[in-house]
Amino acid sequence: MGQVLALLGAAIFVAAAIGLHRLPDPYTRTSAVATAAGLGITFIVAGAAFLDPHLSNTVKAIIAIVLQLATSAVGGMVIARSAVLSGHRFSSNTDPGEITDQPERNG
Amino acid sequence: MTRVLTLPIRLVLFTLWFAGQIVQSSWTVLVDILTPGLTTTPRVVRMPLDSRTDLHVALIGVLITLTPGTLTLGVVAHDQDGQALLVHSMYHQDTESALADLRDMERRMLLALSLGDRP
Repeated sequence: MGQVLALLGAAIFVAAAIGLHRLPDPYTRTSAVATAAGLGITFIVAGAAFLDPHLSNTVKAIIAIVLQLATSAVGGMVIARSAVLSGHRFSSNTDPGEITDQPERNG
Repeated sequence: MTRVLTLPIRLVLFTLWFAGQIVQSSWTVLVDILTPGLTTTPRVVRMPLDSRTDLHVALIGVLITLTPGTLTLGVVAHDQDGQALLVHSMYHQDTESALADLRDMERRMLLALSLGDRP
């Protein structure tokens, strides 16, 4: 069970790396990869906890997963926001919608 | 009082629902990445928030980013005292369906977190 979870996490990382290569712009890359990394870590940590299931290990695993999810989300947002502010283009098929009138765009 | 007592239940139900959402959208993204060709229809939408406190705004931003395929780009002022999120979405066919999904998530989050009577 633990090994299966860890392997699944590693597979998610591989898929995320392929996505990093294939997706067209910083926004889709962050969107797919930041969260895939969070999910991959979650599976690997959960797998490690399953391999040696003590109460203390379970608590540590839960803390690690919560912290990882929270920080990878914040990190993803910061990367995306800095990409917007530094003027990176959206891929050509993106419907930019409301982004054009964002006041901080030129800041 | 009952709303305080049901808070843990609502939190657990929301967590389970959200985990389901993450698995579902991760699957969408992974399948798209690992099969030839990309089916993305990226767009940026402005999502007016019902959330009024900073904690709720921050939380919905994190939840949106945690869902693969959607990404919070920033918070902007909306109307007089409200706020709106700029959200980048990869797989919604049009702005309306993206907003519907995002608002559904916000509604569920507020439902799970609210104490006392409905605002």
